[in-house]
Amino acid sequence: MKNPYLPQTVKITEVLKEAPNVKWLKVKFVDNQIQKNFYFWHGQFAMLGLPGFLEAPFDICSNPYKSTEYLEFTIRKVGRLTSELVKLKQGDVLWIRGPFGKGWPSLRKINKKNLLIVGGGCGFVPLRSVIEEAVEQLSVDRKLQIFYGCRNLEELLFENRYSSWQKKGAEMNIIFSQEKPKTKMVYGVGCSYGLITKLFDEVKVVTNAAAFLCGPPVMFKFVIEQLKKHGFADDDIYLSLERRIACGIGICQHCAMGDKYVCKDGPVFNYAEIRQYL
Amino acid sequence: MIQKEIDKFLAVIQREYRIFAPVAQGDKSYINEIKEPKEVDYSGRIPYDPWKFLFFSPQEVLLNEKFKEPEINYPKICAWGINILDLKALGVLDLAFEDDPYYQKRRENILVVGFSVGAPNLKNYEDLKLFSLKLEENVLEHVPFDIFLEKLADDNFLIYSGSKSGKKILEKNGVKDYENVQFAGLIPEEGPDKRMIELQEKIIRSANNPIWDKLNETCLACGKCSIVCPTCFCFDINDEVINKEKVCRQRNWGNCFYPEFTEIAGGFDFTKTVKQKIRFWYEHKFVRIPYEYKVPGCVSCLRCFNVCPAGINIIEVLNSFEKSGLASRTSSVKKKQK
Repeated sequence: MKNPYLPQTVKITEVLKEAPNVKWLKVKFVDNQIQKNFYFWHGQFAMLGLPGFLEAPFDICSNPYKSTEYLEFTIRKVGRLTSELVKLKQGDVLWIRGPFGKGWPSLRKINKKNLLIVGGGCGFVPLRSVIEEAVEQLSVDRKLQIFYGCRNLEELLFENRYSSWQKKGAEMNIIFSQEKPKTKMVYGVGCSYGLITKLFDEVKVVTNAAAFLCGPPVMFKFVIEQLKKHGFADDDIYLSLERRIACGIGICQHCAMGDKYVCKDGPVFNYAEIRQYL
Repeated sequence: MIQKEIDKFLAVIQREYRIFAPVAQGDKSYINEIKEPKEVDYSGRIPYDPWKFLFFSPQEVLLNEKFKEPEINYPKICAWGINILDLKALGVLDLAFEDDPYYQKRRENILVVGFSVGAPNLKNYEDLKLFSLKLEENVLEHVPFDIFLEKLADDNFLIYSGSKSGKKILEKNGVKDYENVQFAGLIPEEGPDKRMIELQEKIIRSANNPIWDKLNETCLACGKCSIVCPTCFCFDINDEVINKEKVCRQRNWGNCFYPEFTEIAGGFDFTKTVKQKIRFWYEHKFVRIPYEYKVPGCVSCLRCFNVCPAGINIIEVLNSFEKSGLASRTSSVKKKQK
């Protein structure tokens, strides 16, 4: 019988300091055969762990097209496990189970032509894999607009990717909530100062679009209000939620929410399905 | 079969299996490992503690020091005298852990012997009837067991087999006079319970129902109900650090009333208030279990009521939900407050 609790080892091939307390890790399965057969869907998560420090769910933020070569994670130091994870160096080993859950819907199957991505703080991490995939599929009549809210310049994530995304046609906007930026552009992206909802007034919002959001719970409420004002229907809005997760397969109950399990039915949900729980 | 023959049969099983059975202590019955067949309590009363600890261990090693699944020789155990309600609960556990290698390996070595003596011997049987307990003609087809003993009014026992291994043991011991029952899954022929479906709908939409506010005042969030509930199966995963080089990963019974159950790194807790916690517990029983397995997550054993320091009676709570309806949702609670 297959054991869903049995983790595999991955080795860190690259580490980057993304922000003061945030590390980006690129990993490869120690067992090459597993890597060659590993597939995930954008927005799915994996349980990462270290013996003695348990496991926790982390979104896989790399390009799904590269899943058989490597995986990437972006980890912020917030607790006991993450404090250890951010200390890891190239060559270190950690344990992984997954992938788990239902990720973002297929970009070819969403009802709308265009895509609006709204990420706040660490919530930008689960959106990265979908951006990486979406920019490969853009055309004259298929637009991708990105709204990214961040505390300050130092906290910006994935700044080395912005020019590549924009070159491929993505339109990106950054807004800082804590520190007024000194310039109008950062890393080639237009920026301003305020809460993420302000971007909806400052920038022409893409129409005929589905919206993918991730961020702190308080952000959802206000961003959804803005989306509705701009004519987005409930079922064109998707969100990725965060919960405590122990098993990852819908049994342990930690991530339960009404009739749903975030680990199994999510972490990405259609807003129409879960609005009563937000 | 008469009692003497049943005792003899149990003694034979005991040669191969450790026997756990209800044992009377004072006015209650507890599940204990027994030495003598005569220790068994055949009153039919529902034991104070649940049977689940035999099937779903309160603590077990998931990964050994090498972070591999440990090789374990699970003991041969006979759970002797499980009543129908608890067999229904076992059915829920069997489904929840269908793909769980630890549960399944342990389960393979457990011989389940069901028992009934007509209706459960409880004072408030009238209350029980209000919920789900209909002693259907074909109830045995919808609960898991290997062997089932039905005690009749004349003290004779009828014997049923419910699995290949049950049949084998009966045959091996010269028991010829038994009836075979084919397990047909937990859901009755007429489809999932209608009352269960109605309650599910009501509890999903109950965010603003004042019943929760009332429970918020009475419930102490002590979590005793969850420990004794035969269908509560949530768990935590913990790392046991023996020393720097030796760590094994364990699974322990969880409790959704305890702090940190739904807390994420950084401190945000999705069930901070008592109201949120008790609703989370009810949602597991009456929303998620019915949604996933099409059977109620409560078998109306009333163990939670028996241990509750605040005297919360789950059947009364369900009745008030039922009465509250979606439109006139305040009526039943107001009546009670008077």
